[in-house]
Formats: sequence, C-alpha cells, structure tokens
Amino acid sequence: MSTFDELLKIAEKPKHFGKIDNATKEGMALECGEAVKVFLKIEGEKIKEAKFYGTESMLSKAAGELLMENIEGKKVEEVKKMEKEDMLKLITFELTPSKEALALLTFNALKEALK
Amino acid sequence: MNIEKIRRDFPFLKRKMIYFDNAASSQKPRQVVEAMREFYYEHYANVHRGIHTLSEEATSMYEKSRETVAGFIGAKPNELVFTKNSTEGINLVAYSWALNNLKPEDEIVVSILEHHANIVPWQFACKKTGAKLVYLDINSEGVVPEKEYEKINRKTKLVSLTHVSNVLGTILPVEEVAKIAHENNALFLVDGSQSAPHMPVDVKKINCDFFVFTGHKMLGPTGIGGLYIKEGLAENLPPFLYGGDMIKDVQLYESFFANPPQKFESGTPQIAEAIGLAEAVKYLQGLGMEDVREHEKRLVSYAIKKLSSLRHVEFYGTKNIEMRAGVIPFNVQGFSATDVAMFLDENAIAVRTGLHCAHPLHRRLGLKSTARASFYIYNTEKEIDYFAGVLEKLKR
Repeated sequence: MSTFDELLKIAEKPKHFGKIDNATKEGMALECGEAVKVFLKIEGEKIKEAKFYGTESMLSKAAGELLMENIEGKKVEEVKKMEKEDMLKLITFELTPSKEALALLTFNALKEALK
Repeated sequence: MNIEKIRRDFPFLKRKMIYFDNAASSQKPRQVVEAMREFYYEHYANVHRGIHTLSEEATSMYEKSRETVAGFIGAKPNELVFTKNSTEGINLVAYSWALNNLKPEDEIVVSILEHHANIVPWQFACKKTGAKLVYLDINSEGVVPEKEYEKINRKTKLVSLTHVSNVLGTILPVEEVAKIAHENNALFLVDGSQSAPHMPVDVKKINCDFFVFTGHKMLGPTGIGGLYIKEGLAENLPPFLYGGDMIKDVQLYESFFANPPQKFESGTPQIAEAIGLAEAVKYLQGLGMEDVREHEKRLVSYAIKKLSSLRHVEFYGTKNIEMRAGVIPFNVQGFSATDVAMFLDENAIAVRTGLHCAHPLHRRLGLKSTARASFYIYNTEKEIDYFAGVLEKLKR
C-alpha cells in the first residue's frame, strides 16, 4: 500500500476529529497553510477525551488521529513527558522533512494545550 | 527549440521525474555546473585584490559575468549589483532608499499579487518611517483592473510590483505602470523573479528604476541574484552593507565608498555563483528568450485545456495566454493541496503546495491553499498528459 492510500484509510473517518465543548485545556499550532487546535477533557490525573480540529491535509489528520487515540486514557504527566520522537514512532511510514512538520502539527498543539 | 536536445543537458531527468516546480526553483544544466567547477578548479582566487594571475583571472571572470548578466536584462554593467537573490535586492532598496527618503505622508504602492518578498520589506520601511502601504486589488481572473492604478498619485513615492505573479502567473503591464509612476514622480521597482527566467526582459524598455531577479529560478546556482539600479540613481543611495571591497579609503572615523555597483557589494562576493549565472544566461540566450516564452505559452495553453476537461479539478488565473506565464495553481475536490502534491509525488511529479509565500493573495482569493504546477524549457506536452492522467485518478 502506498503512503497515500495508508493515509487515506486513517484520515477518511478520524474518530477524534472535532471539538469538545467545555474542554479543560485547548492548544493551537500553525504551519504554513495548516492550523490545528487540540481539545482535552481532563478528569483527575487522566485525559478522559482528546480531540483535534482544523487541519486540511490527510497526513496531519492521520497523525492527529493516531496521537489522540494514543493519549486518551493516559495520565497528563505521562503525556507531558512525550517527546517529538515518541510522536514520530506512531507513524509507520517514512517521513521527509516537510511531511514530518505536518505530522507534528497536532503534537505541537497538544504541547501548547499542556503548557 | 529542440526540447529533446535541451533535456539531455539536465542530468536530473535521468531520475525519470516530472519537475513542475519551476516557479520555486529551476533545475540546472550541466554547462552551468561545469563552468563553476572549472572556475573553482582552475582559476579560483579572491577578486578585486592582488595582482597575481589567479586573482586577475577571477576578477576578469567575475566582471565579465556582470556584463553578460546585465546585457541579458538590457542594462549596462555598472547598473547591475550582484545580490544574494531578489529578496536581498528589495531589502537593499528598502534599507538604502526607503528608510532615508520616506516621510509619514508618503505612500508605497504594491499589489495584492505580491510574493512576501515584495510586501514584508515595505511593511518594515513603512513602520520605520510612518509611510503608508497601499495595495492594488485584482479581479476574479487575477488581473489588476486599470482603475486600480489610479491609486498611484502624488503621495506615491514608490511603486513596487511583481512582473509576473508567482501564484497565478498574471503578467502585469509594467511599461504602462512605469509611465503612471513617473508622471507622479514616484520610483518604480519591478520584481522580475518570475519574468527574467521566462520571457524577454529589457529594463530600458520597461523604464523601471529598480529591477530585481534571482539566479536559481533561471538555471543558475543558488545564492546569486541581481538588482538593476537605473544609472544616476545609485550615486545618491547610501550603502546597504558595510565592510571590505566597497571602499575607496578607510580612515579611523570615516570611510569613502567605491562607485556603484561595488558600493553595494560588501565583502567577498559570490564569485563562482556569478560565473554560474552568466553561464545560465548564455544558455538561455542560446535558446532565445522569445522562443522560451513561446514554448511556455504552448505548455500553459495545453495544461489549461487538459485541466478544463477534469471536472474535479479547479484552477485559477486568467485564461488569456498573452497575460499569463507558465504557472497554474489548482485544487482537487475532496483533497487538500498537500494531499494532491503528495499523491503527485508518489507518481514522480513535483509540484509546490501551500500558500507559495503569498498569504495575502490566498486570503483575497478565499483559498486555504493551492497546489501549483509551473513549467520551464525542459517540460513537454507529454508530461502534462501524464500529469492530467494522474489527477484523473483522484476523482472520488
């Protein structure tokens, strides 16, 4: 399967794409032509619900979906410790520099939300 | 123009890729790289200093390159300053002329079509001096309506326009604008980044005061460009960067500067790059710029025809080929521009995606982003057929 088809599969119906009303935390990130906002509902120490919204490209959408899925249910402190490399590990296909920037968009928005 | 012969000069084509990202940067023919290699291996030394053989050879080659490149745009050698690129050329005018001449009641006129390189330096100059930045608007085809030029008036001190839009390909009527600017005692700067590589340019015929262009978009190396300053203007402009090689005499607390263009070329210049650019110019002159333009007109007409037959593809800009260079921005229904560019890349086609350093223009057009195909001398109708075929697959 080509990267494009792989992305299409994940990005077509992302479960975590959308907004959360009364989110505990919100964060935003911009990259030339793309903007993403992350919404988090935090209960106690844990991230109960995570959503992202705004991006256009399948690559950032797919990366956002994989990240939101990964952090839901995790402890806030644990997610705060996530590094760029941890995010990139969630992506199974090869990332060139521009693709990496898109793949990190939601991650950067998440970092903003947890600042 | 013998395209098959041209294609043999471009080694990158061995990779079987279709390169439609020429508005961002062009590929290089082996002649350009060979000229730079020969200079580095056989004639290299610093210029304008030392009487030894190598330095004299390097100086001759550097200054001969200035003659060649100046001639290409119809300028005299002493009217051409070698810069890093168009951006540096515009910044030179902003720092040297604008900061020293603008007053709060003055206006600079640009168009909404501009690349950031022809917006941001003027925002800076206006903030520093209190002058006002005025935009010429476009119609739905991406053409500046004649009435918009009435915004050029007695308050205008500089009109700074792109010759060709890097997004829509619109060609602006720069000769007419020069007349309007000069009738209002304003100076006229033309950003030729997208015109010099693709069509005949004669700065004397345009009658502009400044003309900037960049080497890497016209078969030349990166790191070299040109700024034409009309004779008589440069003498009164202060230097932009200060240091060595731009000097007549340096005393303890004061210095006397060299004549233009050297006054504006501080430090060791881009010698090999200038030689490479001159070789690129010779290559283009060998083809003939009229023929280069005709070839691109054919390609863009063909691409417009092909894309028009794809219902799921939307493209922008005027269909009047006389007013359009070889650039087509487009979108595919149901996909972002980045998706489209990624899909094309998987099919060995290089296009640019995003906002093409023209955020205000995209906002004006109501577009979040576009993919952009832009053509050059080595592109063919056959490549456009393949491109259209790949886009066809994105129909949902």
